[in-house]
Amino acid sequence: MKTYDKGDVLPDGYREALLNLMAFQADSEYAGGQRVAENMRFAPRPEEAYRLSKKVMEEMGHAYYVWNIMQDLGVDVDGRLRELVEHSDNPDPRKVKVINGFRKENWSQWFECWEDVALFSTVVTPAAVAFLGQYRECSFLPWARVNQRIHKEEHGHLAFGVWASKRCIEFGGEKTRAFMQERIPKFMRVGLGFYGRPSHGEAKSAMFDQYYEWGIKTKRPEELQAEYMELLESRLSEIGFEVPKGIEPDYDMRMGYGGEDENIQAAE
Amino acid sequence: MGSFGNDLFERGREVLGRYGYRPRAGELDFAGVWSTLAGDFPMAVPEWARLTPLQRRAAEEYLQIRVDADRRLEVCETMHAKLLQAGIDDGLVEAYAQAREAYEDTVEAFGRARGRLEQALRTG
Repeated sequence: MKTYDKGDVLPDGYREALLNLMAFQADSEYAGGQRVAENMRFAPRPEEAYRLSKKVMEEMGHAYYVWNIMQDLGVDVDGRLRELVEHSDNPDPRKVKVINGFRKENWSQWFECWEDVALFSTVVTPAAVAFLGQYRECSFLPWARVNQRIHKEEHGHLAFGVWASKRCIEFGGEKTRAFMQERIPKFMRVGLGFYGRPSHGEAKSAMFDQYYEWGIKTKRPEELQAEYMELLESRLSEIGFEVPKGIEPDYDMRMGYGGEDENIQAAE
Repeated sequence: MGSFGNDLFERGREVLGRYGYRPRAGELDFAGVWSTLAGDFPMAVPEWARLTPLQRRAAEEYLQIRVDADRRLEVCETMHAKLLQAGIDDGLVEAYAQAREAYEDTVEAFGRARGRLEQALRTG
């Protein structure tokens, strides 16, 4: 795989494809931090509130890392930050690329209580860990290095989900465990759909092959989904939950930084 | 402290306010804030005046670390405002990374102090 570092001339088409995915990651990390901040209202105890606040700061920090690299490629990233801060409930899709799942109108449907907040980090975050993990080995080295940093922290978010779920059960007992078990499938649909459509067959993603050939994406959706299931099963079993069977991915509400089903449109 | 140019942070700090957060708080009123933090423990918590010396020391450490976290959160939010106003660059991004790592370490320490205090509340 040919790699590129800061200052290298990027081939035709490569720069646009790279910036498309970087913009999805950066804008969505920030919007994700905003959505997590909205969930502060559900925090039932002091340690929960402080740990969630910590997560907000981390997610926004990830956005700054990626925007900083995009700026080196000539993108006006300050305008993206301003758009998200000034229109956090409904940022203009012509100005920022926020994944469907982190748009307020979609996100707010999933959260009714603190148990949902705990489950999101337990059930959906493993998908982010697997998905973003692939960028650590991508062909654009500055982005790969930043994602090594980010990946370590996403693992910390997984630990938050397990901790928060155990605390829910510690305070609420077996009744709470049963309540949470019933809510796992709605988040698992999101986790399974995180990677976008399969890399082959009729439902195949339109752009995946191109991203893969350039080394911008380094793993196939099927590989990522297998990594996700391995992480998910270990976390659910650590808490004492069962892994639900027969759950179908929700691609329409996908959380992934894919964008591969759209024509590539570079962030400028 | 102002709004940091971001309403979401205001709302987040209102939530932390339920547990004793005060903007740029000066003197620590441990006895006053104690009752707001009792919900952090899965058992009945004695009133401040009834804590044993061991429990009192653990409680003071727990409360002091929470106040330290509050101050570090304010540094993070100030950095967010600078990034918004001055624009994203290497220096500010790294300064923010350091600020949030300091906040994150303090929140982790707060969790560990809560665990020690819970142990002291169990043993008396």
